Amino acid sequence: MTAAALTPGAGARRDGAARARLRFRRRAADAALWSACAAALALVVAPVVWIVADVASRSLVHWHWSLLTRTTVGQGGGLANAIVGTLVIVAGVAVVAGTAGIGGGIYLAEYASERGGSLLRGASEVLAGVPSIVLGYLGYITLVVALHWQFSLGAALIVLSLMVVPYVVKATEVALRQVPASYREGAAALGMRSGYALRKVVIRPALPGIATGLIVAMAIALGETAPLLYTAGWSDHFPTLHLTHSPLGYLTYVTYVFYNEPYASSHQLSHLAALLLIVLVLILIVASRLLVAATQRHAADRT
Amino acid sequence: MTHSLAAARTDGGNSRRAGAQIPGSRSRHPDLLSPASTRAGVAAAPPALPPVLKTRDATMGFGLKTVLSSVTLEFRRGTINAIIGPTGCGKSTLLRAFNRMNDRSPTFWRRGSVEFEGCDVSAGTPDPLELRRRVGMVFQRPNPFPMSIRDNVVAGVRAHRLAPRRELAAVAERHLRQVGLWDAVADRLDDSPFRLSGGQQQLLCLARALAVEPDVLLLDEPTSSLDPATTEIVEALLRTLTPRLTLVLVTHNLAQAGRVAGTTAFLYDGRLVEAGETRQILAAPREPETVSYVTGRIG
Repeated sequence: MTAAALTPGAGARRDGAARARLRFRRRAADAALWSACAAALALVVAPVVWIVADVASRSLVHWHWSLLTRTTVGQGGGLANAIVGTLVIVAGVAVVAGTAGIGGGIYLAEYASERGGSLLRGASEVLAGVPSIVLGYLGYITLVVALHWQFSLGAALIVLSLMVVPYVVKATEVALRQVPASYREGAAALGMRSGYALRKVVIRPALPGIATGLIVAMAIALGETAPLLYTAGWSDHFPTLHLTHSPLGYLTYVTYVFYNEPYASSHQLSHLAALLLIVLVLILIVASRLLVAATQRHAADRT
Repeated sequence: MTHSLAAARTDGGNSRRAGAQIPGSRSRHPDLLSPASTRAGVAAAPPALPPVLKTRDATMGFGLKTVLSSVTLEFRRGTINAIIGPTGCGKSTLLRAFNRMNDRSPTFWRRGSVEFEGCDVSAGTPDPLELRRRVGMVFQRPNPFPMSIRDNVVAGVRAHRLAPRRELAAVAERHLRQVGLWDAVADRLDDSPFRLSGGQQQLLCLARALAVEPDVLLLDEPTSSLDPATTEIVEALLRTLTPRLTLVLVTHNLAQAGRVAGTTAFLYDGRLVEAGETRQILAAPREPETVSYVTGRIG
């Protein structure tokens, strides 16, 4: 330690230098974090933009409105049968997986014992982990072949619902668990039966979460191909709405199978089906946002 | 024990006078003045009426933990009663024993009796839902439901089907007027309650609790999250509820007990240390723990 270092002037200088170093380190860390965030954002946004742009550029040049009205004929024609088929499948999944999944989620969040809860939760997680092609094959050998349902709407709905029901269960359970305990307490203190309190008080703030889970499930069902190839088959005609012996068309089939055909007309339909799938997913997302906004009217806006 | 006796002796004149003011409880509990005893009776005029709420040797807890030991206490009809004591002394557990809110926890257990109108609350008559209708509760933090202001007030009325649908609006108005909230919310009954101030939300919760026409209202530190002005409004409102209702008020705030409560029970470490007229408890406590608490040395 020199005498100079002990003078007040030198101390102040050294202090200034240390502060400058500190400021530089802070700014560097700040910049690094910001670039990391920007990169992460780009990683999410760029593929979305790329996919939408690519699909749109390949498909829109072939767009004609009769796509929506005409059914498929061989390798050409329209997509009306596939559009209606996809909508029927998604609606059916919403009903089947929605009922089972919301019921299961309510059971897990409100009534399940320790053991029953972990059993159901574990089963649900395993189900979510089973590859969709395996579920499809299972549906094929049991429903389509063994039960003689043949390719059918019923087989498709059961297999697809099995596939997405874990998402609905999880979303429902999480949404109900996030409902403030004070609502349940307040309801109980008023002498409400627990089922009544659930219906009238507790479920309301959980609805956006449940709806979001259901819409995620519908979006997955919308885009699923493998299990449907095994269970729904394909048809050039509109779906009959019979549950068995009723093969039906759907958009993912067109996107996947028609792309592997050596015809320009089937490639065009494949790209157009992909575009329609993206549009339908977008509609589902917007619908979920609107639903959330509508149900939040009386939600607690505590932050 | 010796220091308890010493404390009682230094204040002997006072406590004897205070004891004489509550003859009913003295005759029922001859050991009221014994400092070692955790038994005491809370009495208020007129002594002839039977108590609405009563515990005898009530010991309770959760799992392995004993929260309250051998509490014997009674609250008379139409009175305002405070339960005071430091955090963790068992005030809330005692309060929640009366409407069986503790039973919602699977590890809760209880010995001794906790009675509402002469029947043990766990006896099944009235059933727990009816018990909770007649023994209402207001919580520390306002907890309006996620529904409109009007629906909040009549939520319990609907649940118990106390009024036909066409009268619900009138029921809502009557109870909003009762808590003095009507003028503030009359033009936004269909709005969310979460835009109201904290004090207004608490008044709304009071209106909701009153709308099911309870006999008893349990209040768990109902003003601890409110500003002094709103606290004053709530306290004034509480005074208007007697003698039709019996109020039991858990509070941290000794001054509040002094302002609204006729009788006060002091809990310390799971025991009922002392109970009696609020004036006596605050001004001339008999037990050394009470002295320490009311003078601010503990809690």
